[in-house]
Amino acid sequence: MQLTTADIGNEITKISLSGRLDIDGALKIDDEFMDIVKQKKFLAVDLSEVSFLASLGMRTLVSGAKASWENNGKLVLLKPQENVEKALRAAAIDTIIPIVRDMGEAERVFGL
Amino acid sequence: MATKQRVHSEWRRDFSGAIGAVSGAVGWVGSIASDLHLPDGQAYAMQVCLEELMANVAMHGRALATQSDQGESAEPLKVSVSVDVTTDRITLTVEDNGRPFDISRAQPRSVEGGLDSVRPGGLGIGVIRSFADNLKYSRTETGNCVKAEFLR
Repeated sequence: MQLTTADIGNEITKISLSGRLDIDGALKIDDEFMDIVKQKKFLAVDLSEVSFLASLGMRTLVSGAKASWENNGKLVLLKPQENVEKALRAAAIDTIIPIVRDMGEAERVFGL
Repeated sequence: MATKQRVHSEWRRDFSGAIGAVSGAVGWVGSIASDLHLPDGQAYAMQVCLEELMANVAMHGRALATQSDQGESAEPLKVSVSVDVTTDRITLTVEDNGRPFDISRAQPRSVEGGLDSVRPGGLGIGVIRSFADNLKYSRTETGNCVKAEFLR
Protein backbone atom coordinates (compact mmCIF):
# COMPACT_ATOMS: atom_id res chain seq x y z
CA MET A 1 0.00 0.00 0.00
CA GLN A 2 1.44 3.35 -1.09
CA LEU A 3 0.24 6.81 -0.09
CA THR A 4 1.10 10.05 -1.87
CA THR A 5 -0.34 13.54 -1.43
CA ALA A 6 -0.65 16.62 -3.58
CA ASP A 7 -2.04 20.05 -2.74
CA ILE A 8 -4.08 20.97 -5.82
CA GLY A 9 -5.34 24.43 -4.86
CA ASN A 10 -8.53 25.77 -3.25
CA GLU A 11 -7.40 24.18 0.03
CA ILE A 12 -7.90 20.75 -1.53
CA THR A 13 -5.44 17.95 -0.85
CA LYS A 14 -5.55 14.83 -2.96
CA ILE A 15 -4.44 11.68 -1.15
CA SER A 16 -3.69 8.93 -3.66
CA LEU A 17 -3.66 5.37 -2.37
CA SER A 18 -2.47 2.40 -4.39
CA GLY A 19 -2.36 -1.30 -3.66
CA ARG A 20 -4.35 -3.40 -1.22
CA LEU A 21 -6.08 -1.61 1.64
CA ASP A 22 -6.34 -4.77 3.71
CA ILE A 23 -5.12 -5.39 7.26
CA ASP A 24 -1.46 -4.95 6.33
CA GLY A 25 -2.20 -1.95 4.12
CA ALA A 26 -4.28 -0.21 6.75
CA LEU A 27 -1.65 -0.73 9.44
CA LYS A 28 0.99 0.67 7.09
CA ILE A 29 -0.76 3.95 6.28
CA ASP A 30 -2.92 4.62 9.36
CA ASP A 31 -0.62 7.07 11.17
CA GLU A 32 0.43 9.02 8.08
CA PHE A 33 -3.15 9.18 6.80
CA MET A 34 -4.44 10.57 10.10
CA ASP A 35 -1.61 13.10 10.31
CA ILE A 36 -2.53 14.47 6.88
CA VAL A 37 -6.25 14.48 7.57
CA LYS A 38 -5.79 16.54 10.72
CA GLN A 39 -3.74 19.18 8.90
CA LYS A 40 -5.79 19.70 5.73
CA LYS A 41 -9.26 21.10 5.13
CA PHE A 42 -10.66 19.46 1.99
CA LEU A 43 -9.52 15.94 1.22
CA ALA A 44 -10.11 13.84 -1.89
CA VAL A 45 -8.94 10.29 -1.29
CA ASP A 46 -8.22 8.79 -4.70
CA LEU A 47 -9.06 5.08 -4.59
CA SER A 48 -8.70 4.42 -8.32
CA GLU A 49 -5.50 2.41 -7.76
CA VAL A 50 -6.77 0.51 -4.72
CA SER A 51 -7.38 -3.05 -5.89
CA PHE A 52 -8.75 -4.49 -2.64
CA LEU A 53 -10.55 -3.02 0.36
CA ALA A 54 -11.34 -4.82 3.60
CA SER A 55 -13.16 -3.56 6.67
CA LEU A 56 -9.97 -2.54 8.46
CA GLY A 57 -9.20 -0.33 5.48
CA MET A 58 -12.70 1.11 5.77
CA ARG A 59 -11.98 1.82 9.41
CA THR A 60 -9.01 3.93 8.30
CA LEU A 61 -11.21 5.88 5.87
CA VAL A 62 -14.03 6.36 8.40
CA SER A 63 -11.61 7.46 11.13
CA GLY A 64 -10.12 9.96 8.70
CA ALA A 65 -13.50 11.31 7.61
CA LYS A 66 -14.58 11.67 11.23
CA ALA A 67 -11.36 13.48 12.19
CA SER A 68 -11.76 15.78 9.19
CA TRP A 69 -15.40 16.51 10.09
CA GLU A 70 -14.40 17.28 13.69
CA ASN A 71 -11.79 19.66 12.26
CA ASN A 72 -14.44 21.46 10.15
CA GLY A 73 -13.10 19.79 7.02
CA LYS A 74 -14.58 17.40 4.50
CA LEU A 75 -13.37 14.15 2.99
CA VAL A 76 -14.60 12.42 -0.16
CA LEU A 77 -13.70 9.12 -1.83
CA LEU A 78 -12.66 9.51 -5.46
CA LYS A 79 -13.16 6.94 -8.24
CA PRO A 80 -13.15 3.59 -6.42
CA GLN A 81 -12.86 0.47 -8.56
CA GLU A 82 -16.03 -1.59 -9.01
CA ASN A 83 -15.40 -4.23 -6.31
CA VAL A 84 -14.05 -1.65 -3.90
CA GLU A 85 -17.16 0.47 -4.39
CA LYS A 86 -19.36 -2.59 -3.86
CA ALA A 87 -17.60 -3.20 -0.53
CA LEU A 88 -18.01 0.44 0.49
CA ARG A 89 -21.73 0.37 -0.29
CA ALA A 90 -22.17 -3.02 1.44
CA ALA A 91 -20.93 -1.43 4.66
CA ALA A 92 -23.01 1.72 3.98
CA ILE A 93 -19.86 3.84 3.97
CA ASP A 94 -21.30 5.82 1.05
CA THR A 95 -24.00 7.14 3.41
CA ILE A 96 -21.42 8.90 5.59
CA ILE A 97 -18.56 9.59 3.14
CA PRO A 98 -19.49 10.85 -0.34
CA ILE A 99 -18.20 8.83 -3.30
CA VAL A 100 -17.39 11.06 -6.28
CA ARG A 101 -16.32 10.41 -9.88
CA ASP A 102 -14.11 13.43 -10.54
CA MET A 103 -12.63 16.50 -8.92
CA GLY A 104 -15.45 18.71 -10.17
CA GLU A 105 -17.92 16.64 -8.19
CA ALA A 106 -15.55 16.74 -5.22
CA GLU A 107 -15.45 20.55 -5.34
CA ARG A 108 -19.24 20.69 -5.32
CA VAL A 109 -19.29 18.49 -2.20
CA PHE A 110 -16.72 20.79 -0.62
CA GLY A 111 -18.98 23.76 -1.45
CA LEU A 112 -16.38 25.46 -3.68
CA MET B 1 -4.43 -28.98 -14.67
CA ALA B 2 -7.05 -27.25 -12.49
CA THR B 3 -9.83 -25.95 -14.74
CA LYS B 4 -13.54 -25.23 -14.55
CA GLN B 5 -14.19 -28.60 -16.23
CA ARG B 6 -13.23 -30.43 -13.06
CA VAL B 7 -16.27 -31.80 -11.30
CA HIS B 8 -14.83 -31.39 -7.83
CA SER B 9 -11.63 -29.99 -6.38
CA GLU B 10 -10.72 -29.21 -2.80
CA TRP B 11 -7.90 -27.38 -1.07
CA ARG B 12 -7.30 -27.18 2.65
CA ARG B 13 -4.71 -25.44 4.79
CA ASP B 14 -4.27 -24.61 8.47
CA PHE B 15 -3.25 -21.18 9.75
CA SER B 16 -2.56 -19.49 13.04
CA GLY B 17 -5.50 -17.45 14.32
CA ALA B 18 -3.25 -14.40 14.67
CA ILE B 19 -3.94 -11.24 12.69
CA GLY B 20 -0.56 -11.61 11.01
CA ALA B 21 -1.70 -14.83 9.33
CA VAL B 22 -4.62 -13.26 7.48
CA SER B 23 -2.76 -11.86 4.49
CA GLY B 24 -0.99 -15.16 3.82
CA ALA B 25 -4.29 -17.04 3.86
CA VAL B 26 -5.97 -14.52 1.59
CA GLY B 27 -3.03 -14.70 -0.80
CA TRP B 28 -3.30 -18.48 -0.86
CA VAL B 29 -7.01 -18.32 -1.77
CA GLY B 30 -6.17 -15.69 -4.37
CA SER B 31 -3.68 -18.04 -5.98
CA ILE B 32 -6.31 -20.81 -6.10
CA ALA B 33 -8.73 -18.41 -7.79
CA SER B 34 -6.02 -17.45 -10.24
CA ASP B 35 -5.17 -21.08 -11.03
CA LEU B 36 -8.87 -21.73 -11.68
CA HIS B 37 -9.12 -18.64 -13.90
CA LEU B 38 -12.12 -17.42 -11.90
CA PRO B 39 -13.66 -14.09 -12.89
CA ASP B 40 -12.19 -11.10 -11.05
CA GLY B 41 -15.41 -10.49 -9.14
CA GLN B 42 -15.54 -14.04 -7.82
CA ALA B 43 -11.86 -14.05 -6.86
CA TYR B 44 -12.38 -10.74 -5.07
CA ALA B 45 -15.46 -12.05 -3.25
CA MET B 46 -13.63 -15.11 -1.94
CA GLN B 47 -10.67 -13.07 -0.75
CA VAL B 48 -12.64 -10.32 0.94
CA CYS B 49 -14.88 -12.82 2.74
CA LEU B 50 -11.86 -14.80 3.98
CA GLU B 51 -10.15 -11.60 5.11
CA GLU B 52 -13.21 -10.55 7.12
CA LEU B 53 -13.83 -13.98 8.62
CA MET B 54 -10.21 -14.47 9.69
CA ALA B 55 -9.88 -10.90 10.98
CA ASN B 56 -12.98 -11.49 13.08
CA VAL B 57 -11.47 -14.66 14.57
CA ALA B 58 -8.16 -12.93 15.26
CA MET B 59 -9.72 -9.91 16.94
CA HIS B 60 -12.65 -11.47 18.79
CA GLY B 61 -12.28 -15.24 18.79
CA ARG B 62 -10.04 -15.80 21.79
CA ALA B 63 -9.53 -19.56 22.02
CA LEU B 64 -11.52 -21.55 24.52
CA ALA B 65 -9.80 -22.78 27.64
CA THR B 66 -9.32 -26.54 27.86
CA GLN B 67 -8.76 -28.87 30.78
CA SER B 68 -5.59 -30.92 30.93
CA ASP B 69 -3.50 -32.76 33.54
CA GLN B 70 -1.61 -29.52 34.06
CA GLY B 71 -4.84 -27.63 34.75
CA GLU B 72 -6.82 -25.24 32.60
CA SER B 73 -5.02 -23.67 29.67
CA ALA B 74 -6.02 -21.84 26.52
CA GLU B 75 -5.27 -23.54 23.21
CA PRO B 76 -3.62 -21.30 20.63
CA LEU B 77 -6.17 -19.85 18.27
CA LYS B 78 -6.18 -21.83 15.04
CA VAL B 79 -8.02 -21.49 11.74
CA SER B 80 -8.53 -24.11 9.04
CA VAL B 81 -9.49 -22.86 5.61
CA SER B 82 -10.80 -25.02 2.81
CA VAL B 83 -11.94 -24.21 -0.70
CA ASP B 84 -14.30 -26.64 -2.36
CA VAL B 85 -15.00 -26.14 -6.04
CA THR B 86 -17.77 -27.84 -8.00
CA THR B 87 -19.32 -27.02 -11.34
CA ASP B 88 -22.01 -24.80 -9.86
CA ARG B 89 -20.45 -23.27 -6.73
CA ILE B 90 -17.37 -22.52 -4.69
CA THR B 91 -17.55 -23.10 -0.96
CA LEU B 92 -15.12 -21.35 1.35
CA THR B 93 -15.07 -22.98 4.77
CA VAL B 94 -13.43 -21.32 7.76
CA GLU B 95 -13.21 -23.33 10.98
CA ASP B 96 -11.74 -22.00 14.20
CA ASN B 97 -11.35 -23.07 17.83
CA GLY B 98 -12.50 -19.75 19.24
CA ARG B 99 -15.45 -18.64 21.32
CA PRO B 100 -18.93 -19.24 19.88
CA PHE B 101 -19.94 -16.55 17.43
CA ASP B 102 -22.71 -17.02 14.85
CA ILE B 103 -21.73 -14.55 12.17
CA SER B 104 -24.77 -15.45 10.08
CA ARG B 105 -26.99 -13.84 12.75
CA ALA B 106 -24.73 -10.96 13.74
CA GLN B 107 -26.00 -7.46 13.04
CA PRO B 108 -23.78 -5.19 10.91
CA ARG B 109 -22.63 -2.01 12.65
CA SER B 110 -25.04 0.81 11.84
CA VAL B 111 -23.70 4.07 10.44
CA GLU B 112 -27.12 5.75 10.43
CA GLY B 113 -26.10 8.49 12.84
CA GLY B 114 -23.53 9.87 10.39
CA LEU B 115 -19.94 10.82 11.18
CA ASP B 116 -21.04 12.44 14.43
CA SER B 117 -21.83 9.13 16.07
CA VAL B 118 -20.14 6.49 13.94
CA ARG B 119 -17.73 4.16 15.67
CA PRO B 120 -15.19 2.64 13.32
CA GLY B 121 -15.24 -1.16 13.32
CA GLY B 122 -17.82 -3.90 12.88
CA LEU B 123 -18.10 -3.18 9.17
CA GLY B 124 -17.03 -6.59 7.92
CA ILE B 125 -20.33 -8.37 8.49
CA GLY B 126 -22.10 -6.31 5.83
CA VAL B 127 -19.23 -6.95 3.45
CA ILE B 128 -19.40 -10.72 3.89
CA ARG B 129 -23.16 -10.77 3.36
CA SER B 130 -22.85 -8.65 0.25
CA PHE B 131 -20.14 -10.73 -1.44
CA ALA B 132 -21.21 -14.27 -0.44
CA ASP B 133 -24.29 -15.78 -2.08
CA ASN B 134 -24.98 -17.94 0.97
CA LEU B 135 -23.61 -17.91 4.49
CA LYS B 136 -24.01 -20.87 6.85
CA TYR B 137 -22.85 -21.19 10.43
CA SER B 138 -22.55 -24.24 12.65
CA ARG B 139 -21.13 -24.74 16.10
CA THR B 140 -18.58 -27.54 16.24
CA GLU B 141 -17.14 -29.48 19.19
CA THR B 142 -14.05 -27.31 19.12
CA GLY B 143 -15.32 -23.97 17.88
CA ASN B 144 -17.05 -22.42 14.90
CA CYS B 145 -17.55 -23.37 11.27
CA VAL B 146 -18.62 -20.81 8.66
CA LYS B 147 -19.35 -21.75 5.07
CA ALA B 148 -19.53 -18.98 2.50
CA GLU B 149 -20.87 -20.07 -0.89
CA PHE B 150 -20.27 -18.36 -4.20
CA LEU B 151 -22.47 -19.48 -7.09
CA ARG B 152 -20.75 -19.88 -10.49
